[in-house]
Amino acid sequence: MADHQDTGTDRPGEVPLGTLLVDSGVLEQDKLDQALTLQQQWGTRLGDILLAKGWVRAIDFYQTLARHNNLPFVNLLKEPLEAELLTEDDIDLYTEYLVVPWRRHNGRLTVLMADPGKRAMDFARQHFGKDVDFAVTSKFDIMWELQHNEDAYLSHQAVYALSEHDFEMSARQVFTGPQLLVIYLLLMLLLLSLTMFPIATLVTVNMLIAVFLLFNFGMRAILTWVGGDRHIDVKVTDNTVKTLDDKELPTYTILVPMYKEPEVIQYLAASLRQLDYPLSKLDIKLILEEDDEETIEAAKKLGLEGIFEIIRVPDSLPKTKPKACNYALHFARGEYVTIYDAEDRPEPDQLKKVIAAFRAAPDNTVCIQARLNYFNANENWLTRMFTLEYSLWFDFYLPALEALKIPIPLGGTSNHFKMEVLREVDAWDPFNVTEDADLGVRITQLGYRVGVVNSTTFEEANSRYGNWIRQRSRWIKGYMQTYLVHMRSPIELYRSLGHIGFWGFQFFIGGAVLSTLLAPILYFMYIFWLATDTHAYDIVFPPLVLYISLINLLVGNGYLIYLSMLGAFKRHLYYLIPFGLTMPLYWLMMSVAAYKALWQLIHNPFYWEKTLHGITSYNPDNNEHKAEDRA
Amino acid sequence: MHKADRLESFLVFIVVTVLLCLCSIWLLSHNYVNEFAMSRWAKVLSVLDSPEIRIEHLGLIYPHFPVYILMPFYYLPGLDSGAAPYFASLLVGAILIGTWNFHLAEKKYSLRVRILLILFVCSHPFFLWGVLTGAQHALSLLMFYWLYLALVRLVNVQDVRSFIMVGLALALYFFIDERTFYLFIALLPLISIIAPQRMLSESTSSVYLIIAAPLAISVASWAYLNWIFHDDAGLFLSSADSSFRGVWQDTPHVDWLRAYGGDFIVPTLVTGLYALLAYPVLLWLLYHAKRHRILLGSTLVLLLHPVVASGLATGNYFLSHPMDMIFLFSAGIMAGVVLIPRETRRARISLILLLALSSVTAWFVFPWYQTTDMQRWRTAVMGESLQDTSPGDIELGLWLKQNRQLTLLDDKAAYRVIVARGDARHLVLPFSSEYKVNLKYQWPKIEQIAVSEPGYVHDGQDYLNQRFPELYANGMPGYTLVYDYMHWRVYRRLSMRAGT
Repeated sequence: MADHQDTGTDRPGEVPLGTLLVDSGVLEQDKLDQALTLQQQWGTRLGDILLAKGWVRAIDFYQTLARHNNLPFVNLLKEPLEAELLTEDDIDLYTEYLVVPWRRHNGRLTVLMADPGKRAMDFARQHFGKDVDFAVTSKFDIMWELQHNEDAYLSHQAVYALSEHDFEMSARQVFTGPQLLVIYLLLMLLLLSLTMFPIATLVTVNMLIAVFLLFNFGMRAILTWVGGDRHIDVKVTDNTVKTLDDKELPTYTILVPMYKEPEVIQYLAASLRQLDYPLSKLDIKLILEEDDEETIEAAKKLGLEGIFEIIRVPDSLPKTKPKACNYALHFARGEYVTIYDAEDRPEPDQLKKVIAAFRAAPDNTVCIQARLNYFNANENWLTRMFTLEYSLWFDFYLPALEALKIPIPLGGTSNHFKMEVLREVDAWDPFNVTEDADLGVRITQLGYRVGVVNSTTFEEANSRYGNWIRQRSRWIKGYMQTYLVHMRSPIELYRSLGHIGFWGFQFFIGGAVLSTLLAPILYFMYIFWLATDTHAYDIVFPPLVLYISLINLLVGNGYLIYLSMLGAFKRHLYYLIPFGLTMPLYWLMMSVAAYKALWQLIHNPFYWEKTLHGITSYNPDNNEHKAEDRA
Repeated sequence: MHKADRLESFLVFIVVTVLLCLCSIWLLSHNYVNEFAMSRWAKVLSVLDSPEIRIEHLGLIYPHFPVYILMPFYYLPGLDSGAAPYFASLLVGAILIGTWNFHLAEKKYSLRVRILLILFVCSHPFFLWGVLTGAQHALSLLMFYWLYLALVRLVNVQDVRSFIMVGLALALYFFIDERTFYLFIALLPLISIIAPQRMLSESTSSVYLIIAAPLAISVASWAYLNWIFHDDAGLFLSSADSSFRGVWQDTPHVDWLRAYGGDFIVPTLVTGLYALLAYPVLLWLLYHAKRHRILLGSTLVLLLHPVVASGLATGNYFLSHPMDMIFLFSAGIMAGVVLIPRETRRARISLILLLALSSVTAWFVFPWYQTTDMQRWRTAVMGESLQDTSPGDIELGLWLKQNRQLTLLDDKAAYRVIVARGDARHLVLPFSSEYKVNLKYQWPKIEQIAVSEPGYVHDGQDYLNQRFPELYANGMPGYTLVYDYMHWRVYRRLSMRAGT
């Protein structure tokens, strides 16, 4: 302790920190000059800029900061804190103020802070009492100590916070009792009806399917029409982005969950550095699993700048991305937060566009989804089809859903949240394997709005068939979970979403699943009819059903193919347009995935199908990277 | 403003409907009837009066939408006399005018100017012919108006929705009007004038694919329906009766085709001249579009599109008269007036004067190479009463109305009979299984058989004469002749006769 008190007392507090750093030989003068220029531009503190740029080592900086403030410095790695001083409920406050109780000596508590100033000290005195001493430590060490000491609590919170606060909204229970009862009664009714009135029942079922598919197609046609409007497209212009003042931009947290991707980290860091956003206002969390030593070591070796923080997620079940994100959220300091996957390449101005979109949107808009597309679209047939699908989904459907106030199932990455509300709604459901889609619906149900912004994040399209089936089956299973969760109280859902929102949810979420399940049955019936010219179906296809079925077969399928072409057209991916003609084969693959998803929903609902990334042969940065297995 | 515009446009719709109704009554009271209108109305009666209503019974060799439009009128009392097609047609024309008024009001045209514009557009004989013949022309005008608005949007906005609108307009057009093929082909080279040059340079084929795909879906769907219901996907193109093939069978009777059929360049030029004489106001559009560079391309397309389509259709022996195509200029001019910015008072006055002049000059060019139908329509407009074209059919229809036994009849030959009868109940028509079964027998087992004189149907024998070539002349065992008047005979089963 005496060592700490000696340190930093040899200089008066009024000597500027930058000068102190230069005089100490830990910072070059020209870097200081650059940092001071950036400070004028960004409006953040010098220390944040120096750390963000990596121009000074964290340990050197915090030691100098301690001297600057005439406070002792504590190296938490060598002198860890007393765990019993920590309070579980205060973890978010520790993170927000970068303050942590260290040790108690002679009745006085020493409080460590990474950002010594009036705000942090007032908080400490108010929270811990007046008998406190202060010392400085590294913010990275504070994070590490919090994780190290509270991992059990944080893990529990990450997994169970939502289900404990609002069980109805969690997918922890797949089917509720009433849902099982309804399913059972419907099955019984169907069987009874089939026994007593077989033909009439089959005709009715056939009619219901035909009408459902007609509405399903109609819904997609409407979404494409609405999404095709130019005015829906340009939400934030380049000029709006230019008018944003860097000084007024808030701190932005970026969560990057990774698993066994050591080779990607340097490219990911490069990609994030290219973001057009003051680096010192970025709070990037590399979320790594505790057992993923390879990636952790790779991250350490790179000696990343201070904007990157490694969050180690303790090994526990379910080992899913939402759990990891929930865990990391405790350490997030941004006013806004977003998620990127390791191989994502967001457009550089995305964060600024999102800020502008939030400012222009109604106050209750708490989430903005950026568009997703693929950088390896032209790798093979599968990536082409995947790109066609995503172009339609993100460039037409989602903007239209926003315009029509229908719940938006968020995409896997590049969804940007207001931090306060994300925490308030208990963030992601770790039991839902498409936690993002579920969160989009949950947010809307709680009276908030989800928006869409005209900025794209480029991802890696799945280029292998088995891998694609695994990924898609997880997505469809997640949609099933999401549908079941939000349909536990259909009347409540109807009240909260309104007419359009409710029916939009039925067809966009429920319809997407049901149509993929029905498709192979209908295809089989059709091919059988073509092959045999049988008249066996005549009895269950009375004229009206026949005509609706024909509309579905011809106009429905024809226009769904056309819609996929439009997606490529809008994206100017003209070479993909002819591939839209092969869309029915892609739908068949979806059906395979859908049946796998249904099987898993019953037998292994929370299992997170691992999807391989980094397997593309296409490399836009001329960088080679591969990963074995990532979530 | 918009609410007031909508209300006012509705009033315009009502007033135009009433005025067009009066015109239509005038024509019908002078015995004008349109064969197309009658055959479609007969289809509606046949299908809706049959025990099992099936779309395929309408036949798949002509666009169906005009028939679907007529179906609600079947249920309206008082329209069973055959007035429904004319009423439906003028209603669509009134909707077009109401829509135009709304668009003009949006452009801040004063009520007085709008009234004058509407008056002169509506008094143009080509427009009147389009909306009063009871055929699908009024729908075609409405679709052309939409298509042209979509094309101009493509020029101005260049968003995806513009492409969707053009594509959908063409796709829907196919189900309304068999001229779509020619309009589409004529549009293909013209797209290069209006499509965004950046897109064309990046991928010409994509621009065409996106515009053409909806029409391709329509055509493929129709071919599929032909296949599943008639075992021949190309029937709608190959059948001699198909309206998609136009009037090629009547070439010897069509002056225009005798003069220009099979050629493209000359009929195109002639049509162009004819169009300028009938619509001198086109020059006004061109002159004013020139001052708004972005609209010049779309106006050029408007000028060339129906003319080129007319040339193509004449070259393929499809078109009976260039007016069959260039009457679409009425809708094109309406769209053009909406899209060219409202300018000086002088410009508006010149527009009104040229529209008035068009209405006059068109009456003069109307008789040129006129078809029989045009000639009859013009005569009726002039107030001269026409003679019935098929008094025998009407007489039989009236007779069958009184003698309502189950009657075997081929509607291909007898659509006028069905319209005159006012319904198709107790008629056994070719689409029914009962008809097919009876034709399999050596001697049909039906209460009555109505058969036309062989050769009466000029474009081919009806089914009954094909199956029973001696029926008209000699009857058949077990049946006796009960009706014989002007090309028609009815045979009744002896046992039935004894019973009656």
